[in-house]
Amino acid sequence: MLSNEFDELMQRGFRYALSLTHDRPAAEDLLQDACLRVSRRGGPWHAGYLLKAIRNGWIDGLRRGKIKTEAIDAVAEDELIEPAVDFVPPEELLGGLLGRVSARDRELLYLSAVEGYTAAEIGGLTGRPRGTILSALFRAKQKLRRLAQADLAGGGAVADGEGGVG
Amino acid sequence: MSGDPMMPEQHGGGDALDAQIVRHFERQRLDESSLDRLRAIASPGGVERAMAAEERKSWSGVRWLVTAVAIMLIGGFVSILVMLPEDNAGNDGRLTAGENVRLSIASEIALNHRKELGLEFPAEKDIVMDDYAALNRMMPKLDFVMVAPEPGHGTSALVGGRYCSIDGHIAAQLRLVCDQGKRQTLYQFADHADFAAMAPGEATVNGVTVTLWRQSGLIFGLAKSAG
Repeated sequence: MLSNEFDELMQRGFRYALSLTHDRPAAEDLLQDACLRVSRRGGPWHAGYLLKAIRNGWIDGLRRGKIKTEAIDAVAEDELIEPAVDFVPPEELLGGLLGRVSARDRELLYLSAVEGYTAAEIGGLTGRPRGTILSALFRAKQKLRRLAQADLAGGGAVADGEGGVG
Repeated sequence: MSGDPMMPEQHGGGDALDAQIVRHFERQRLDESSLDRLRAIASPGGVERAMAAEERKSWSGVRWLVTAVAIMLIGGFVSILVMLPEDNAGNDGRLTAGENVRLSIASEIALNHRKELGLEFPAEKDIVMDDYAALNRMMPKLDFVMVAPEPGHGTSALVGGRYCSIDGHIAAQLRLVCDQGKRQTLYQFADHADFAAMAPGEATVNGVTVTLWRQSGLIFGLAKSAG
Protein backbone atom coordinates (compact mmCIF):
# COMPACT_ATOMS: atom_id res chain seq x y z
CA MET A 1 0.00 0.00 0.00
CA LEU A 2 1.30 3.42 -0.93
CA SER A 3 2.09 5.82 1.84
CA ASN A 4 -0.47 8.38 0.65
CA GLU A 5 -3.19 5.77 0.43
CA PHE A 6 -2.39 4.55 3.89
CA ASP A 7 -2.47 8.11 5.29
CA GLU A 8 -5.83 8.76 3.63
CA LEU A 9 -7.17 5.52 5.06
CA MET A 10 -6.03 6.59 8.52
CA GLN A 11 -7.72 9.97 8.12
CA ARG A 12 -10.94 8.22 7.14
CA GLY A 13 -10.63 5.88 10.08
CA PHE A 14 -10.00 8.80 12.40
CA ARG A 15 -13.06 10.68 11.19
CA TYR A 16 -15.24 7.62 11.60
CA ALA A 17 -13.88 7.09 15.10
CA LEU A 18 -14.55 10.75 15.81
CA SER A 19 -18.14 10.32 14.67
CA LEU A 20 -18.49 7.64 17.34
CA THR A 21 -16.64 9.34 20.16
CA HIS A 22 -16.95 13.06 19.42
CA ASP A 23 -13.66 13.31 21.28
CA ARG A 24 -10.27 13.55 19.51
CA PRO A 25 -8.05 11.66 21.99
CA ALA A 26 -10.65 8.90 22.34
CA ALA A 27 -10.93 8.70 18.56
CA GLU A 28 -7.15 8.40 18.19
CA ASP A 29 -7.07 5.61 20.78
CA LEU A 30 -9.91 3.82 19.04
CA LEU A 31 -8.15 4.07 15.69
CA GLN A 32 -4.84 2.87 17.12
CA ASP A 33 -6.52 -0.17 18.70
CA ALA A 34 -8.20 -0.93 15.40
CA CYS A 35 -4.88 -0.65 13.56
CA LEU A 36 -3.31 -3.07 16.01
CA ARG A 37 -6.13 -5.54 15.38
CA VAL A 38 -5.78 -5.24 11.62
CA SER A 39 -2.00 -5.40 11.77
CA ARG A 40 -2.01 -8.49 13.98
CA ARG A 41 -4.07 -10.28 11.34
CA GLY A 42 -1.73 -9.07 8.64
CA GLY A 43 -4.28 -6.74 7.03
CA PRO A 44 -5.92 -6.14 4.70
CA TRP A 45 -5.54 -2.38 4.88
CA HIS A 46 -8.75 -1.20 3.33
CA ALA A 47 -11.61 0.96 4.55
CA GLY A 48 -14.29 -1.68 5.04
CA TYR A 49 -12.05 -3.77 7.22
CA LEU A 50 -10.67 -0.84 9.19
CA LEU A 51 -14.08 0.73 9.83
CA LYS A 52 -15.42 -2.60 11.01
CA ALA A 53 -12.45 -2.95 13.37
CA ILE A 54 -13.06 0.56 14.71
CA ARG A 55 -16.73 -0.19 15.28
CA ASN A 56 -15.94 -3.47 17.03
CA GLY A 57 -13.43 -1.67 19.25
CA TRP A 58 -16.05 0.95 20.07
CA ILE A 59 -18.62 -1.67 21.03
CA ASP A 60 -16.04 -3.57 23.11
CA GLY A 61 -15.19 -0.33 24.90
CA LEU A 62 -18.85 0.32 25.66
CA ARG A 63 -19.30 -3.20 26.99
CA ARG A 64 -16.21 -2.98 29.19
CA GLY A 65 -17.28 0.43 30.42
CA LYS A 66 -14.03 1.86 29.06
CA ILE A 67 -16.04 4.26 26.94
CA LYS A 68 -18.53 6.13 29.01
CA THR A 69 -21.79 7.60 27.84
CA GLU A 70 -23.08 10.50 29.78
CA ALA A 71 -26.69 11.48 29.60
CA ILE A 72 -27.42 15.14 29.29
CA ASP A 73 -30.72 16.93 29.42
CA ALA A 74 -33.02 15.50 26.86
CA VAL A 75 -35.81 17.57 25.47
CA ALA A 76 -39.16 16.15 24.58
CA GLU A 77 -39.62 16.08 20.87
CA ASP A 78 -42.80 18.15 21.05
CA GLU A 79 -41.01 20.92 22.91
CA LEU A 80 -39.00 21.68 19.83
CA ILE A 81 -40.37 23.45 16.85
CA GLU A 82 -40.56 21.18 13.86
CA PRO A 83 -38.11 22.61 11.35
CA ALA A 84 -38.52 22.70 7.65
CA VAL A 85 -36.84 19.73 6.00
CA ASP A 86 -34.74 22.05 3.90
CA PHE A 87 -33.51 24.02 6.89
CA VAL A 88 -29.72 23.85 7.13
CA PRO A 89 -28.04 24.68 10.44
CA PRO A 90 -25.33 27.32 10.29
CA GLU A 91 -21.92 25.73 9.75
CA GLU A 92 -20.42 27.19 12.90
CA LEU A 93 -23.05 25.40 15.01
CA LEU A 94 -22.58 21.99 13.45
CA GLY A 95 -19.68 20.77 15.62
CA GLY A 96 -21.60 21.53 18.80
CA LEU A 97 -24.80 20.09 17.44
CA LEU A 98 -23.11 16.82 16.52
CA GLY A 99 -21.95 16.56 20.11
CA ARG A 100 -25.54 16.70 21.26
CA VAL A 101 -26.96 13.87 19.21
CA SER A 102 -26.36 10.21 19.99
CA ALA A 103 -23.30 8.33 18.75
CA ARG A 104 -25.61 6.16 16.70
CA ASP A 105 -27.07 9.22 14.97
CA ARG A 106 -23.65 10.75 14.40
CA GLU A 107 -22.40 7.51 12.93
CA LEU A 108 -25.35 7.37 10.54
CA LEU A 109 -24.82 10.96 9.46
CA TYR A 110 -21.11 10.34 8.96
CA LEU A 111 -21.46 7.10 7.02
CA SER A 112 -24.16 8.53 4.80
CA ALA A 113 -22.80 12.00 4.14
CA VAL A 114 -19.04 11.52 4.33
CA GLU A 115 -18.47 7.90 3.35
CA GLY A 116 -21.40 7.95 0.96
CA TYR A 117 -22.67 4.58 2.15
CA THR A 118 -26.09 3.40 1.06
CA ALA A 119 -28.70 2.50 3.65
CA ALA A 120 -28.10 -1.15 2.83
CA GLU A 121 -24.36 -0.76 3.38
CA ILE A 122 -24.88 1.04 6.65
CA GLY A 123 -27.27 -1.72 7.63
CA GLY A 124 -24.61 -4.25 6.77
CA LEU A 125 -22.05 -2.51 8.97
CA THR A 126 -24.36 -1.79 11.88
CA GLY A 127 -26.53 -4.88 11.72
CA ARG A 128 -29.79 -3.03 11.24
CA PRO A 129 -32.38 -3.34 8.45
CA ARG A 130 -32.25 -0.92 5.54
CA GLY A 131 -35.68 0.56 6.32
CA THR A 132 -34.66 1.25 9.89
CA ILE A 133 -31.52 2.98 8.67
CA LEU A 134 -33.48 5.21 6.31
CA SER A 135 -35.94 6.37 8.96
CA ALA A 136 -33.18 6.71 11.57
CA LEU A 137 -31.18 8.86 9.19
CA PHE A 138 -34.16 11.10 8.54
CA ARG A 139 -34.77 11.47 12.27
CA ALA A 140 -31.09 12.20 12.91
CA LYS A 141 -31.10 15.05 10.42
CA GLN A 142 -34.33 16.42 11.83
CA LYS A 143 -32.79 16.34 15.30
CA LEU A 144 -29.86 18.39 14.10
CA ARG A 145 -32.21 20.88 12.53
CA ARG A 146 -34.44 21.09 15.59
CA LEU A 147 -31.49 21.61 17.91
CA ALA A 148 -30.08 24.27 15.64
CA GLN A 149 -33.41 26.02 15.39
CA ALA A 150 -33.84 25.96 19.16
CA ASP A 151 -30.34 27.38 19.58
CA LEU A 152 -31.04 30.14 17.11
CA ALA A 153 -34.29 30.90 18.89
CA GLY A 154 -32.38 31.30 22.15
CA GLY A 155 -32.98 27.86 23.66
CA GLY A 156 -29.32 26.90 23.56
CA ALA A 157 -29.55 24.43 26.45
CA VAL A 158 -31.54 21.85 24.59
CA ALA A 159 -29.86 18.56 23.89
CA ASP A 160 -30.58 15.11 22.76
CA GLY A 161 -28.85 11.77 23.03
CA GLU A 162 -25.79 10.87 25.08
CA GLY A 163 -23.92 14.08 24.52
CA GLY A 164 -20.12 14.05 24.56
CA VAL A 165 -19.62 10.53 23.48
CA GLY A 166 -23.00 9.59 22.32
CA MET B 1 -18.34 -1.58 0.83
CA SER B 2 -18.57 0.09 -2.47
CA GLY B 3 -19.19 3.66 -1.43
CA ASP B 4 -22.20 4.12 -3.67
CA PRO B 5 -23.99 7.18 -2.39
CA MET B 6 -27.32 6.74 -0.72
CA MET B 7 -30.30 8.04 -2.52
CA PRO B 8 -29.60 11.74 -2.49
CA GLU B 9 -32.07 12.82 0.11
CA GLN B 10 -35.46 11.62 -0.69
CA HIS B 11 -36.24 13.52 2.53
CA GLY B 12 -35.34 16.89 1.00
CA GLY B 13 -32.86 19.56 2.08
CA GLY B 14 -30.27 16.86 2.68
CA ASP B 15 -27.74 17.86 0.07
CA ALA B 16 -26.82 21.08 1.80
CA LEU B 17 -26.79 19.45 5.23
CA ASP B 18 -24.75 16.52 3.93
CA ALA B 19 -22.29 18.91 2.34
CA GLN B 20 -21.95 20.71 5.60
CA ILE B 21 -21.38 17.45 7.49
CA VAL B 22 -18.73 16.50 4.93
CA ARG B 23 -16.96 19.85 5.36
CA HIS B 24 -17.08 19.48 9.13
CA PHE B 25 -15.47 16.05 9.11
CA GLU B 26 -12.93 16.93 6.44
CA ARG B 27 -11.57 19.59 8.74
CA GLN B 28 -10.82 16.87 11.31
CA ARG B 29 -7.39 15.46 10.57
CA LEU B 30 -4.81 13.39 12.38
CA ASP B 31 -1.58 15.25 12.92
CA GLU B 32 1.77 14.00 11.61
CA SER B 33 2.95 12.48 14.88
CA SER B 34 -0.22 10.40 15.19
CA LEU B 35 0.17 9.29 11.59
CA ASP B 36 3.77 8.29 12.28
CA ARG B 37 2.64 6.13 15.15
CA LEU B 38 0.05 4.40 13.00
CA ARG B 39 2.51 3.93 10.13
CA ALA B 40 4.85 2.26 12.60
CA ILE B 41 2.08 -0.12 13.69
CA ALA B 42 1.34 -1.06 10.09
CA SER B 43 5.00 -1.64 9.23
CA PRO B 44 6.56 -5.13 9.57
CA GLY B 45 7.10 -5.93 13.25
CA GLY B 46 5.06 -2.86 14.17
CA VAL B 47 2.61 -4.71 16.39
CA GLU B 48 5.42 -6.21 18.45
CA ARG B 49 7.06 -2.82 18.81
CA ALA B 50 3.75 -1.21 19.79
CA MET B 51 3.05 -3.95 22.32
CA ALA B 52 6.56 -3.61 23.74
CA ALA B 53 6.07 0.14 23.99
CA GLU B 54 2.76 -0.38 25.78
CA GLU B 55 4.44 -2.79 28.15
CA ARG B 56 7.22 -0.31 28.80
CA LYS B 57 4.57 2.33 29.40
CA SER B 58 2.77 0.17 31.93
CA TRP B 59 6.09 -0.74 33.61
CA SER B 60 6.92 2.91 33.61
CA GLY B 61 3.67 3.44 35.51
CA VAL B 62 4.70 0.78 38.01
CA ARG B 63 8.13 2.40 38.33
CA TRP B 64 6.48 5.72 39.05
CA LEU B 65 4.33 4.07 41.68
CA VAL B 66 7.37 2.43 43.29
CA THR B 67 9.23 5.74 43.20
CA ALA B 68 6.27 7.54 44.76
CA VAL B 69 6.04 4.95 47.55
CA ALA B 70 9.81 5.20 48.14
CA ILE B 71 9.59 8.99 48.34
CA MET B 72 6.73 8.70 50.82
CA LEU B 73 8.71 6.25 52.96
CA ILE B 74 11.78 8.46 52.89
CA GLY B 75 9.59 11.45 53.69
CA GLY B 76 8.12 9.58 56.64
CA PHE B 77 11.59 8.62 57.85
CA VAL B 78 12.78 12.22 57.55
CA SER B 79 9.69 13.38 59.46
CA ILE B 80 10.55 10.97 62.26
CA LEU B 81 14.09 12.32 62.30
CA VAL B 82 12.72 15.85 62.47
CA MET B 83 10.64 14.86 65.48
CA LEU B 84 13.82 13.73 67.23
CA PRO B 85 16.02 16.23 69.07
CA GLU B 86 17.56 18.65 66.58
CA ASP B 87 21.18 19.74 66.32
CA ASN B 88 22.11 18.39 69.69
CA ALA B 89 25.09 16.32 68.60
CA GLY B 90 28.69 17.45 68.39
CA ASN B 91 30.65 17.83 65.18
CA ASP B 92 31.35 14.12 64.93
CA GLY B 93 27.64 13.36 65.27
CA ARG B 94 28.08 11.55 68.59
CA LEU B 95 26.89 12.87 71.94
CA THR B 96 29.19 13.05 74.94
CA ALA B 97 27.98 11.80 78.35
CA GLY B 98 27.42 15.43 79.43
CA GLU B 99 25.43 16.20 76.29
CA ASN B 100 23.39 13.03 76.78
CA VAL B 101 22.33 14.07 80.27
CA ARG B 102 21.60 17.58 79.03
CA LEU B 103 19.45 16.19 76.24
CA SER B 104 17.63 13.89 78.64
CA ILE B 105 16.79 16.78 80.99
CA ALA B 106 15.93 19.08 78.10
CA SER B 107 13.54 16.47 76.68
CA GLU B 108 11.66 16.24 79.97
CA ILE B 109 11.56 20.01 80.32
CA ALA B 110 10.32 20.39 76.74
CA LEU B 111 7.58 17.86 77.46
CA ASN B 112 6.49 19.78 80.55
CA HIS B 113 6.68 23.04 78.64
CA ARG B 114 4.46 21.74 75.86
CA LYS B 115 1.82 20.43 78.28
CA GLU B 116 0.96 24.03 79.13
CA LEU B 117 -0.50 23.03 82.48
CA GLY B 118 -2.28 25.67 84.50
CA LEU B 119 -0.62 27.53 87.34
CA GLU B 120 -1.13 26.26 90.87
CA PHE B 121 0.20 29.52 92.29
CA PRO B 122 -0.72 32.40 90.03
CA ALA B 123 1.18 35.60 90.53
CA GLU B 124 -1.71 37.99 90.14
CA LYS B 125 -3.22 37.01 93.50
CA ASP B 126 -0.43 36.38 95.92
CA ILE B 127 2.89 36.91 94.29
CA VAL B 128 4.54 40.17 93.58
CA MET B 129 6.37 39.99 90.26
CA ASP B 130 9.80 38.44 90.73
CA ASP B 131 9.13 37.86 94.42
CA TYR B 132 10.73 34.42 94.65
CA ALA B 133 10.58 34.61 98.43
CA ALA B 134 6.77 34.78 98.30
CA LEU B 135 6.65 31.91 95.84
CA ASN B 136 8.93 29.82 98.08
CA ARG B 137 6.45 30.28 100.90
CA MET B 138 3.65 29.02 98.70
CA MET B 139 5.56 25.95 97.54
CA PRO B 140 6.86 24.37 100.76
CA LYS B 141 7.19 20.86 99.31
CA LEU B 142 10.26 21.84 97.33
CA ASP B 143 13.52 20.40 98.70
CA PHE B 144 15.43 23.50 97.69
CA VAL B 145 14.96 27.26 97.79
CA MET B 146 14.13 28.95 94.52
CA VAL B 147 16.20 31.94 93.55
CA ALA B 148 15.88 34.54 90.87
CA PRO B 149 17.94 33.71 87.78
CA GLU B 150 21.05 35.73 87.25
CA PRO B 151 20.77 38.41 84.64
CA GLY B 152 22.03 37.42 81.21
CA HIS B 153 19.94 34.31 80.76
CA GLY B 154 17.18 36.15 78.95
CA THR B 155 14.52 35.42 81.54
CA SER B 156 11.51 37.70 81.94
CA ALA B 157 9.20 38.54 84.84
CA LEU B 158 7.55 35.80 86.88
CA VAL B 159 3.87 35.03 86.35
CA GLY B 160 3.38 32.06 88.68
CA GLY B 161 4.43 28.49 89.35
CA ARG B 162 3.53 24.86 89.92
CA TYR B 163 5.20 21.69 91.11
CA CYS B 164 6.65 19.28 88.60
CA SER B 165 9.39 16.67 88.46
CA ILE B 166 12.52 16.14 86.43
CA ASP B 167 13.97 12.65 86.29
CA GLY B 168 11.90 11.75 89.35
CA HIS B 169 13.17 14.70 91.40
CA ILE B 170 10.84 17.42 92.56
CA ALA B 171 11.15 20.64 90.61
CA ALA B 172 9.45 23.96 90.17
CA GLN B 173 7.96 25.01 86.89
CA LEU B 174 7.74 28.78 86.73
CA ARG B 175 5.76 30.60 84.11
CA LEU B 176 7.45 33.75 82.84
CA VAL B 177 6.08 36.62 80.83
CA CYS B 178 6.21 35.87 77.11
CA ASP B 179 9.32 37.13 75.40
CA GLN B 180 8.49 38.60 71.97
CA GLY B 181 5.49 36.29 71.70
CA LYS B 182 7.46 33.22 72.75
CA ARG B 183 6.05 31.34 75.71
CA GLN B 184 8.66 30.85 78.42
CA THR B 185 8.83 28.46 81.38
CA LEU B 186 11.69 28.26 83.83
CA TYR B 187 12.55 25.08 85.73
CA GLN B 188 14.53 24.91 88.94
CA PHE B 189 15.57 21.79 90.79
CA ALA B 190 18.33 20.66 93.08
CA ASP B 191 21.56 19.55 91.42
CA HIS B 192 21.49 15.86 92.40
CA ALA B 193 24.25 13.34 91.73
CA ASP B 194 22.07 12.03 88.88
CA PHE B 195 22.72 15.27 87.06
CA ALA B 196 26.40 15.58 87.89
CA ALA B 197 27.51 14.82 84.36
CA MET B 198 25.20 17.38 82.82
CA ALA B 199 27.03 19.80 80.53
CA PRO B 200 25.37 23.22 80.59
CA GLY B 201 24.22 24.49 77.24
CA GLU B 202 21.33 24.51 74.86
CA ALA B 203 19.23 21.72 73.33
CA THR B 204 16.24 21.88 71.01
CA VAL B 205 13.54 19.25 71.36
CA ASN B 206 10.36 19.23 69.26
CA GLY B 207 10.65 22.93 68.52
CA VAL B 208 11.30 23.88 72.16
CA THR B 209 14.67 25.43 72.90
CA VAL B 210 15.93 24.58 76.38
CA THR B 211 18.89 26.38 77.95
CA LEU B 212 20.39 24.69 80.98
CA TRP B 213 22.79 26.18 83.49
CA ARG B 214 23.86 25.83 87.09
CA GLN B 215 23.37 28.52 89.72
CA SER B 216 23.39 28.50 93.53
CA GLY B 217 23.47 24.70 93.75
CA LEU B 218 20.46 24.41 91.49
CA ILE B 219 19.95 23.47 87.86
CA PHE B 220 18.02 25.99 85.84
CA GLY B 221 16.27 25.18 82.62
CA LEU B 222 14.71 27.89 80.52
CA ALA B 223 12.30 26.60 77.85
CA LYS B 224 11.14 28.76 74.93
CA SER B 225 8.65 27.85 72.25
CA ALA B 226 9.68 28.47 68.71
CA GLY B 227 6.76 30.78 67.89
